[in-house]
Amino acid sequence: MSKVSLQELTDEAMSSSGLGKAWLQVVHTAVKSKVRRMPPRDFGFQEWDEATIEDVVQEVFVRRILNRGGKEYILAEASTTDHAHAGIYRLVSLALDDLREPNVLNNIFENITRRFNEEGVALGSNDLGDRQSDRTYDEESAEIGVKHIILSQPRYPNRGTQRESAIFSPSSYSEIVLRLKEEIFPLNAKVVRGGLKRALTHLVRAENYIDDAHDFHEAVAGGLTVEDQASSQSHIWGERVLKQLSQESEKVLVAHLYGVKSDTELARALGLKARQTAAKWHLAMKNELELAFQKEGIVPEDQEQVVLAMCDLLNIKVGDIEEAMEA
Amino acid sequence: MENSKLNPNEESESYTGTSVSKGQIRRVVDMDLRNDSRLVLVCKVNIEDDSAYVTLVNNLVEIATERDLLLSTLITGASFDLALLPDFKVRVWKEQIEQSPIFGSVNSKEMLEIDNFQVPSVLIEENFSAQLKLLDIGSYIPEYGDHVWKFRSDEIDAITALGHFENQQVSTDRFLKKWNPLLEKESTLEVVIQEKMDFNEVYLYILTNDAIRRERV
Repeated sequence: MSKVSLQELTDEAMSSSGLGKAWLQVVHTAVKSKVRRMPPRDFGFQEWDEATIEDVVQEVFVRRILNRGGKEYILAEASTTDHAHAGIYRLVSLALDDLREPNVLNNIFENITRRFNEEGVALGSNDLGDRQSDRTYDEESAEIGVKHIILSQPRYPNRGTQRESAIFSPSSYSEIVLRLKEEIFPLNAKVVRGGLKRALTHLVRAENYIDDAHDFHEAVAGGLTVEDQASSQSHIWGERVLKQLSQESEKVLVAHLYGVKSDTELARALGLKARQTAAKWHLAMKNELELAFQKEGIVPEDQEQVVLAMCDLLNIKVGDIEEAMEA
Repeated sequence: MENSKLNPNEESESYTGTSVSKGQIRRVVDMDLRNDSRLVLVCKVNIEDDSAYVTLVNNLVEIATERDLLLSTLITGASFDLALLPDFKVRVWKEQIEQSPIFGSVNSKEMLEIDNFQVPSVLIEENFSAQLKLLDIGSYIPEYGDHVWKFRSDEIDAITALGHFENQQVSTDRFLKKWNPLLEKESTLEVVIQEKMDFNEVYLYILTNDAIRRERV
């Protein structure tokens, strides 16, 4: 299948019959390439097959290409075929995030609701504001307040293929719940959900749609390259090792891969109060990593490749893996 | 020579595309086609050497930070919402822009606000949205290790690759070439050479020179 040129995309966009084969081909390839690494349940599907991929392709057209000036933007900015393809890939990512967002919202909302329930507070009711009944109701301001509280918390990088990112650590959830109780009025399910939605519009997206270079090059090559196939063993090992890491160790590993070196920096990055705790987590991560390498029979000369694969699985671009491994 | 060629606000005769002026949303291309093009807002046009200062815009309004300004379709008349990234400003030649259509434009009131918008230091925490009356700022808050940082640094590289650093020699060459018909007058050129004038001095000299005044008359 030959690569659709910018000229073909432009001609089709300008034609009276509108978008057709050329755009469909690029979008279809992009969707296929991207969803392969994402859990279907995040999009409301049981599995990825031709029918579900077609559904997503249609959604991409409706949500991002035919609306919001998507098509016009691609044609305005791109001056080469590759650039146009990269732009379309970004629109596909945006549309996928549009589709994914409600699921993430539900997950976080349920988590917050559960924590309130554990404290004997029913978020579903509107009674929470009674204690401050002299204050006026302004749900919009309250939603904005919820958004700020949520955005103020540190977030995990997205885990890519593994599962939907938890986004917040348990301590962040505790902080969110505490601040919601102290600062938000009226505090009810509608306000929390509304504020969460406002925040997630930012949170869910950025990690996905700006890192599409990997997918793009993969799609250009028409699927897995020889190098990709050769590295698939590393990815299998990487997945297995990641599964053996505790949540804390995974966070420490991610921080190290992003260049955090000292325990003080680590404590700050993970929102820990004590450097000693960070040091403890750091040591635990090293031990767990070593144990996982041993268990999987990964010899030292393969370990760097496995760490690279883990970065890929975690959607992390790393400058200097060796340094991170030494740390 | 026609009088219009002496007006610093007029386009050079060597350009054939749509004239470039402040406030336009245009595409900047790499003349050598080595780098990807980008959409920009034209912030200043320098008639002397036919260069322009442009600021990067993109459609990723969801990750526009508080350092960025939002340009909705209502403001620009474009088909898409845009985020303006004032940190990402470069100088380009007009040849890189003029073949592009005008995708939208920002009127003078909003441009004044953009000109006056002081992009805050990252170390200073203050409410800089207070500076703005007509435009909104982005609301995304990137955190440590956020992919947005990498995206922004890639975009800085991309727009910088399209730009040209200030270079007095190059600007003077372009200036001389553009104003060649005037400089062909022997006396003007001699003065320029003898006085070893720099670019700004030549420009001032030409504008105050008798020959030009005669042409204008």
